[in-house]
Amino acid sequence: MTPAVGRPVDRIEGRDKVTGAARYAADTVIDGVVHAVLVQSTIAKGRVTAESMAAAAATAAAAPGVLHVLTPLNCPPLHVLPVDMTWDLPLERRPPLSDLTVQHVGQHLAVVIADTPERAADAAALMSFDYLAEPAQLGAADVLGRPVPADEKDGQIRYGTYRPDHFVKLDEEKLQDSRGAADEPDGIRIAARFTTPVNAHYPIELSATVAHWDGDMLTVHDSTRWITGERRALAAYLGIAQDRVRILSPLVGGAFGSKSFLWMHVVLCAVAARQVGRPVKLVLTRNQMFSSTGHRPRTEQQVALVSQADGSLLSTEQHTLTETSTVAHFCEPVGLTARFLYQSPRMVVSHTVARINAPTPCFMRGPGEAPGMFALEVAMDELAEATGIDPVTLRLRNDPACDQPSGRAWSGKHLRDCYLQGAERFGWWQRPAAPRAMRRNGIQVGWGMATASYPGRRMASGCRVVTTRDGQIRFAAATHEIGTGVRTVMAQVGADAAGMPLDAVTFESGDSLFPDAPYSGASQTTATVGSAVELAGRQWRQRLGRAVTSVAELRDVLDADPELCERLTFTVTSGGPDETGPLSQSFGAHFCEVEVDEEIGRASVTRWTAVMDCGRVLNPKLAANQVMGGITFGLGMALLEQVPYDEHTGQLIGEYYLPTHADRPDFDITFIDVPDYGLDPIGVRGIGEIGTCGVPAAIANAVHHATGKRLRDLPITLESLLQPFEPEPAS
Amino acid sequence: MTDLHLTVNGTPQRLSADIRSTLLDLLRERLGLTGTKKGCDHGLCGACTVTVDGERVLSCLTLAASIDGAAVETIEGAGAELDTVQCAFIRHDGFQCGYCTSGQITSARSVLREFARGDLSAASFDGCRGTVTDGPQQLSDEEIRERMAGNICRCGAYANIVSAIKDAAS
Repeated sequence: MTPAVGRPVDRIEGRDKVTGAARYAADTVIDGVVHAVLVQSTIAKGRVTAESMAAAAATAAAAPGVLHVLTPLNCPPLHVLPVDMTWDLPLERRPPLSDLTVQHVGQHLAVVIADTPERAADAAALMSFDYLAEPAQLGAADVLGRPVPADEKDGQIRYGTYRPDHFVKLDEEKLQDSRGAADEPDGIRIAARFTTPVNAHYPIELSATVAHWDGDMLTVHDSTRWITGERRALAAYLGIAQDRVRILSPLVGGAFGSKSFLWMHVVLCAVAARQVGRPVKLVLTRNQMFSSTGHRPRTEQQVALVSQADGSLLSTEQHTLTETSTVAHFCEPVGLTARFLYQSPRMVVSHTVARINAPTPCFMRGPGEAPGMFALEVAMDELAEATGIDPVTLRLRNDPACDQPSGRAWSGKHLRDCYLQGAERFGWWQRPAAPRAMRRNGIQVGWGMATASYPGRRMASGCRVVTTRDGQIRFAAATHEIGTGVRTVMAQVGADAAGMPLDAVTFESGDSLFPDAPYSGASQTTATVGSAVELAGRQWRQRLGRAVTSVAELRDVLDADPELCERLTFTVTSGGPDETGPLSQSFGAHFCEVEVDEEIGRASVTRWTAVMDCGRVLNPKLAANQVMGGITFGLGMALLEQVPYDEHTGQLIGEYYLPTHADRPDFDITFIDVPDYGLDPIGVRGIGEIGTCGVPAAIANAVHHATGKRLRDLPITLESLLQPFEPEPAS
Repeated sequence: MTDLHLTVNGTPQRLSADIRSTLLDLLRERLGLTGTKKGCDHGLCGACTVTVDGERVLSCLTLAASIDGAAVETIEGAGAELDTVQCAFIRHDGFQCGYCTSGQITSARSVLREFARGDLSAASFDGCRGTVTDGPQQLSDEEIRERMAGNICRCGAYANIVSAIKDAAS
């Protein structure tokens, strides 16, 4: 039988997606549903007066169709999460509606529940509050060097700065790290400051929750990519047992790092449903998505590279200042890549986080890598220029043989092939070294490149198999279809492991009653859930104990032995990666061309070559789509995206620009496609994030090549491109 | 509340609607036609694109009360049989999460109709004089990208969407 893995199989839920039959959380049909609308704070710091809160609630409650108004004055007390969920994850320490203080613009202050969406929105618009405003700290600069106020509410609200030791639960991924000599050596030195703005995930699906209670049993339909985490956190906030909560995550309309970590509207929707005794539907507005579902926080990075004349690095430093809210922990892990990407005897990386009066940030596609490799890879381009060495050659010269922080070998690294194949495909070796050397139709043209990298991650996962008399094998796990194609590739993996054709196999996701799986993030789902599906498929084949090659044949076998269905219905669990063997890390190389029209300040990315080393490719059609999407995501970060906040008030102003059809380049995407069995039995490493990593640097480097301007602040905007070119003074 | 007559996917409907209802909310919350998606609710993303009397509109910016008597077609309207555009989207993988897809397909069908009747786009003005006076001869990638630029795909399946539309056009 031809293996299913490796074939460009069409997306299994494709038919549903082109007919409108595909179901997302807000599409949930449920009898008697009523509608909730959030009311949010309009100041960054202070307190709502109890009198105005009561008056506003009374006004809203009197509006037509209103069933209930939930405020801090009447919200049943919610519980504080266990410390292990909040001390290194971006889950909020302070339960929602637990007091009248305001910690950021867009903090939930009330929920209005009415019989129709129009009436709920209308009543919510009637609520206005009197605030006792206090001075807000809206950026890291406001926090540094000022007296630190004392913690409030037993540490639920915290101020000042801190320096976290490691990234989330990953002890080895040190955020404060160094090796080599204490002092920086002499050599050719590049030192510069880089900044990246607040970015929004901006999935096109608005976060939506439909909650209903049946006795003491809560069912939540939610656009989430972390069913098991949401079940635990929701149960903890509500003070009920986890087995009283069922989470359903139908198809998710994009996440990119959001839609996880239980945002507060989910808790409030569950409370509202309990209060009104009816199913409640809550859909965030686009503006609320900015304040209530996470974002990539600002970063300010100081990077210093020192090399010998031949470009060999002697020292790498990357120091990051970033921000989180006053109610939750998050540290954008900007400097992790600098610890290992290039051979560097000396390395110093640090992270400082300032707690500011802004919404809670969280992971966003390529957390750390996207902003961190922007700075690192632009600095490498600057070093290439300073040493007179071609940027690809410089990187080849500094390609390390093993993971420097741990001393462990790589389980399958083909980065040199990525550089060389990419350079060849792009035509890189024709590139003139000097900037401003290429013009086309009166427009400056430039070529840039950057390295891509993202860890190969894997966690434990379960998988259930159900075999039915009609000859169908149904695999299932509590993972999520967020658009990555998990249902399709898991069916491919399951079919091959079971030795059955693809039409005998389905894969279901999105229900907390399925065996536990981790969040769909960190590019780990294929390796994680795929390992469990592969194990289940292999066991299924062993239990069957004979060769069967079609649905019809399986049906005959099951008809002849009615108890076989039961024996072929079971659950397995697969573990995490081997922590002692080689380390898995994905790599790649990006090459791009930009055109810069300096008269109108327009930069257009016209051509893109990417060569990716992500282990085995299960489905080339879906994989190429993922990487193109990742590059487009990085293109937005480079040229368009920043959440526009007023720096004096923290209010949202203007819109968030995203790449459209008109903005994307022509793509040439290839994969090295060598399996990495060091991470998992199917030989894969994730591909969800690596496409984005390095992209902003490749574009900034191409803009430099086109214009001679070294732009170190994202996004690269029209204003910066319009300014006349002036060579930087030699330092 | 206001009384409305709408023909939705070929079926005449008599409705009593909140005068504040957008066509999008009417379709989704009243008529159960959830194939049309809400992505921004203020005309930025294109996910809610439907046709009204044969022309594509953003249903989030269309007050239901303002189109009394009109014929509305949603993604569900075509029935069980897939058309060439839908088949091409599947074959070319013109989506990832699928949330913008109803709008992309509705816009794609409209682009093909608009092109066939000689409508110009901003990209047409990059061509020769004949392109502007007589309409473009070829539905080039540039024409498709310009005409589809109002439909945002955050997953970034743009290249595959354009391939699908070109395939369906030929």
